[in-house]
Amino acid sequence: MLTALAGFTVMLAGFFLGVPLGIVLFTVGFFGFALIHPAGLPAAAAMAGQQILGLTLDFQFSVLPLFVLTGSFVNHANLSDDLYETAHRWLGHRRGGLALATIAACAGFASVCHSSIATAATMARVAVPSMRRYRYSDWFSTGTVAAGGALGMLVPPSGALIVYGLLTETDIAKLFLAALGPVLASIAVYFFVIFVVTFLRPQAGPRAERVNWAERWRGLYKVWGVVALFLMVMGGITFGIFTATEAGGIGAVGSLGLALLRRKMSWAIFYESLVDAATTTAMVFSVIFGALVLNQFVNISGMSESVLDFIHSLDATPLEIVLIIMAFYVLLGMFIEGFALIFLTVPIFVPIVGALGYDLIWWGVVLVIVVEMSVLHPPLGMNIFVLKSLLPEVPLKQIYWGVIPFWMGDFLRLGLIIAFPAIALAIPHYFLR
Amino acid sequence: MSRDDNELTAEMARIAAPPRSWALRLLGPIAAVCLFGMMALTFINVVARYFFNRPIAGGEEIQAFLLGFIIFGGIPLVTYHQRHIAVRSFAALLKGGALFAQRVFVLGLTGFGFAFIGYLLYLQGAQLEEEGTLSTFLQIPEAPFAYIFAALMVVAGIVAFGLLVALLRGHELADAYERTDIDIASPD
Repeated sequence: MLTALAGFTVMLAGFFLGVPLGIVLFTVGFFGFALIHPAGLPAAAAMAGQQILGLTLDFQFSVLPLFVLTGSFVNHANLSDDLYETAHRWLGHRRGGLALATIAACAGFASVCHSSIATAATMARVAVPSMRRYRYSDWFSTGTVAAGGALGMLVPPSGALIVYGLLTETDIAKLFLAALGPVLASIAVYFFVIFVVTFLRPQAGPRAERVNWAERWRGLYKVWGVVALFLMVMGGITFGIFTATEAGGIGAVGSLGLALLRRKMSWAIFYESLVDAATTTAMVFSVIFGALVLNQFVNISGMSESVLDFIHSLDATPLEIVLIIMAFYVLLGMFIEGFALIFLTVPIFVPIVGALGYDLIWWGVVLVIVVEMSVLHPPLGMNIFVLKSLLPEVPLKQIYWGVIPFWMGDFLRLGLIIAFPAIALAIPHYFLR
Repeated sequence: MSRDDNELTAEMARIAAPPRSWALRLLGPIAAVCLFGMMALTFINVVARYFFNRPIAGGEEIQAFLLGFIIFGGIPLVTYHQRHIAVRSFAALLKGGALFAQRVFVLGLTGFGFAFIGYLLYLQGAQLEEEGTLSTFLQIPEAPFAYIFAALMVVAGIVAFGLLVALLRGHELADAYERTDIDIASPD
């Protein structure tokens, strides 16, 4: 237990010194394992080499590069304008309607793009100018885009879910399906937040003109590509037509076709998309290597058992423990965010949550919601800074204010998923038994 | 991290732009070809299975080897462009001598770390060679792949040391936090 504590102290020091995560996790995992294992360094060397090579030579993990590639192609297909325009036609005439449209378009874009930052950045370019035209307050429009972008992390097929699946060896197809219900719940909660905000401050989100039904349906026709791509990928997984990895291949070919149809693909963009997706893959895998080695150290250190003994001595119910872990996550999320939060905490908390009898698929969804909160809330929310860098004229304070109602909404959706796990688990249990 | 479409394209062009070293210059195209191959293979495999009832023999094994080339070919490039995932909020507050020391430490540790992982992969390769391990379906020896991946990890380590040497020589090393391009002497 002492070795484990020392290891985690070194790990935190490495993190805050800005050492690449993969190197920190690997170093602590490797030397920690060597210190505890009776065979010492040779055992650690064999373990680390096997873990890294074993992961690399497992074809199922090609799911990650394939979905990253899909997102890369989609980014160039210019789908965001059409998505926003369509949502605008359907929802714009309501109070706060353009904010509702932004959330819907963000979810739509994320369903084919798989990146929170790209979603926030793209939608900032598309939605904020339109909301300004209709005299929406800057704080409200930027807060909406930041929140909609964060939502992108959960929308399947999501990069965060894939990484969680790789780290915990849980079924990625099930994780995708488990995210569907929570995504709908999240959209509903964000809509509710927008209703409340515009009820209290009607001038923040005035109504736009009503569009006739023919125009609305015509709008839907414009986004057929996104709908088709999403249905093909998720439908294929849901009905067991293909695996998550194969869905990645289908998605990548489909998004390439979409970009070609829309005449947005050149040889240069094609090559750049491939290299970008490959380096992003390498970036993520170099951390997964470290996390796997750390996992082995955590396993033999007996740390999980010690923590569990401690938890049992508290005489707390599993739900209370999960709530304590959640509080810890929200706190930690103020300083560490995004994938870093997943990599840092999964090796520690997943064994505990599993031992408490919770479903790890459900936990994956809960974890991604907490990670979404981490990119959204002050002082360091990444999406806030993406918005700030794209709209330098909007004071940072205003974006903070705009984000706060959504962040409060996040607690509501987190509470919903914790109180009613069926929101996440019903769909995968029904389709992928 | 500012990214509208144009900036995203510019960022991607920067990442795709070939580094000065010839060895690193090869890695981008290799990773791109492997990823395209993986995409095509996965797609064709699904089509072949459903429409012709004949999946590609050993397709999954080829896919796994391609994944290895994408990952290990990409890591030196990520290192070169200083794009590794790291917690930057606290280190970003450093200035002057403290910032210099932090960079020396991070680059040095990264270099050692990657080179050491390369060595561990080499040991794995040696063991696979000794045991004569073959892939299950295609019966290809696995050891050479482990050796290539080991060499690529060592290259990643050399790249980090190259950056370190450039920093110590007083070259203006672009701020990793800004993710702009790096002006360094050839790492090899």
